[in-house]
Amino acid sequence: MAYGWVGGSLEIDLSQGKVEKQQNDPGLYQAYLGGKGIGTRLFRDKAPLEVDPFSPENLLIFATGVLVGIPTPSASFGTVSFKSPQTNLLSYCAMGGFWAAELKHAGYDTVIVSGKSPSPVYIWIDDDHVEIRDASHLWGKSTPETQAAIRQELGNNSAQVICIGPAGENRLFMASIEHGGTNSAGRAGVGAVMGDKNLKAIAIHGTRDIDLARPAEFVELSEQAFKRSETLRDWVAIKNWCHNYMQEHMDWALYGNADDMPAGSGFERYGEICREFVDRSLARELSCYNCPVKCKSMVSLGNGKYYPVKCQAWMAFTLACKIPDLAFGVKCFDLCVKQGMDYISTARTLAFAIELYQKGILTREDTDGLRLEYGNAEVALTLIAKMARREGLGNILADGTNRAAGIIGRGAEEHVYVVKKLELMTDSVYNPYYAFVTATSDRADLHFGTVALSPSSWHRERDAYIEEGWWLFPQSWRQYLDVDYSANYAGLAEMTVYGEDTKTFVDLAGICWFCTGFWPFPFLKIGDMARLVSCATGMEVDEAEARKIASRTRTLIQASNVRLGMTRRDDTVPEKFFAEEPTQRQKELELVRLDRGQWDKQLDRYYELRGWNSQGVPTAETLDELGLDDVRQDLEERGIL
Amino acid sequence: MKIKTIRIDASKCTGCRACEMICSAFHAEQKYSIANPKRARINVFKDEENDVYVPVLAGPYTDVECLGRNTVTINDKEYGECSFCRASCPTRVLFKEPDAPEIALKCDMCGDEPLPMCVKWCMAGALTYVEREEAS
Ligand code: SF4
Ligand code: SF4
Repeated sequence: MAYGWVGGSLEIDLSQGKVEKQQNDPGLYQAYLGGKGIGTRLFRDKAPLEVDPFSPENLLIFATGVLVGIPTPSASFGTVSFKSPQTNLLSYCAMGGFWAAELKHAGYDTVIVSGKSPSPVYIWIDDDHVEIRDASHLWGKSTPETQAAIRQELGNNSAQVICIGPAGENRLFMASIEHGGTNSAGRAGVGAVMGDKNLKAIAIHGTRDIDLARPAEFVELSEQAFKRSETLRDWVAIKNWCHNYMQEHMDWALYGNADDMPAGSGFERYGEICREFVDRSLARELSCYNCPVKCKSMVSLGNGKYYPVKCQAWMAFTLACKIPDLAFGVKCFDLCVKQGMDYISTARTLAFAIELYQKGILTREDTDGLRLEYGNAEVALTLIAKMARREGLGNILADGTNRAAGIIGRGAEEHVYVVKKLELMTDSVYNPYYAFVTATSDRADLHFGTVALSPSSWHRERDAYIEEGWWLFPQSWRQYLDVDYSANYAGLAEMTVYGEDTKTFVDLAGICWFCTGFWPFPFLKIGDMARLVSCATGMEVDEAEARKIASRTRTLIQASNVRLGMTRRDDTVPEKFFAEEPTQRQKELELVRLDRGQWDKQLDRYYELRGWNSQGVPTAETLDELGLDDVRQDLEERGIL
Repeated sequence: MKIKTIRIDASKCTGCRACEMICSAFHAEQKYSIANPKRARINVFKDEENDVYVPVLAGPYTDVECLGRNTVTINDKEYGECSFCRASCPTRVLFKEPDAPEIALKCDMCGDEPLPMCVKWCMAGALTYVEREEAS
């Protein structure tokens, strides 16, 4: 009998219209737990890595976290693993909400989708009944319309639906998969791959039990974590944010193509604007499954409609277009959700296009007559819609800044802010820690402990924060907080590896990263999560074992991507952060120009701690120790190792 | 007689369904040994787009559907028939054991627990427990 997991998977071949049910190999799930660990392993076992992302052979592997669907605080996530059309590497996205739990309750830890349907379809999973259904009538519909229409035609209001919008159908690199209005698997072209397969949606309904190995102990640990969650919950509450931190957050959220905020732009009263906005507009705070932290909200703009708000989604657009009006940000985000677009890459691409126009690299001839000026809300919304439809300039921008710069030329390349071709989430990368974790991460993103290092008033007194046990890292590392980054980067590699192991374990367990270290006051640390996994599954996992499991997944992703040609040279951030002096504003934020010598030293150390050689290739010993001997053999045969 | 009540403040509900989750686990034959919200005696009615979230506690079992029907209008949207109904009733699947639909699920206020589990796990404060004395 399976505990924690449910023990089944689906393999769905859309070319043949074939559905197969499988019993999972328990050894595989013990080694990788779930999420992107299982996703990466199965991808390697079932498809050639060199596959063209837009070919039927590419896979979409939906893998639930092992702690999902049971009473774990903040565990609602599953991941989607796929070969990214944007980075051309093996990638993944994580998405919370309610779909992953529903999938487990239907009896499946994992769903592997391959092939390409000759016409639009969606998949209906209702416990044992799995069906591929026609979706021609849903093609072109927005993501909320799609979810509502599917629930209605199935006559099942509790079915959980994940779907793409028009952007996914049009295979935008920034196309997302959306769920429930506030949840997205957003990055690296995941929605484009789904669109390429002609797969509009997956609807899920499950009524099965999930068993727990050591139930009483499990629930006791959960209740303790719920108790600890109160600090983060109160801190992150949208009213608290908007009333106390938005100005500071704005100051910190440097925004590449729109970095400078000249006096008079209105942003000096951003904090006040946010306060007024939230007091006027907040309708409800929302959570994912079993989560006490209300990180998402619905706001009303006084027109009888409700709009979702989360994280920096609304902020991103206000910065990108220099429009200090949150209602504008909210409308942009809403449009992204409806069209099925990743707000991070969409906002960054918008900022990029406006900057090019300002610099004269794009002219009105290129923009279909649009004036891409700062402060013009109408034009911004029009351009997002044009991107979703791949219309005119929208078609050039639809695949993100890197591809667009290649098409536009004329020096546009110099205005691209990407790591491994993926738009940066923020470019506080003049902070070496932010830069380093982004450059080395398995998906070119920020991960853990970042906020915990900002010279910020976000937490109470730093010493108290550490002594009360909130700090993500071992307490003995506190001297790293005193490092003067203008002189050296001591501790960077150590903290990156520790944070990355935590984040990886979070993805395997299916917990939300906001609750586990991305923000301050994490109420589940890697040791806590290891205990929960032990009680749920009956395995014995301590912190050391948890880190080993995380390293196995991290190293497998690395081994895959070095086989695809990724090298040490890719583990960096845009050259301008090394070459150019920070602006006055950045200096005021104590940001420094990155130092290549220090960077390289830390990169050597990072690879060493990971057990990879100086080129970032996992060594034979590391691969053997992690039980990846087949991967060692593969790299040896290809002459990479 | 002591009457146990749960007060529902729908405006505070975050839609997290922790109440459903813990209710199902608490009522497992061996306490907490399974999780399955479809066995819960509480169900959160959601209409995300219109911002309506209503936790509904399972009420009495009925073996025939009711003859009268009602609708509820919230912010101009009409919700039909059974949306907020508490009954375990032949017209729908809600509040029945999923693998044995002849067995109705009914909120038992978690028996002797000092605090009903859904109230304890509702961190948003949408559910509060109130006891009151009533002459029998
Ligand atoms: S636990 Fe509370 S906030 Fe969460 S769904 Fe239930 S009633 Fe709503
Ligand atoms: S009081 Fe107990 S039985 Fe009733 S809904 Fe809440 S958790 Fe379930």
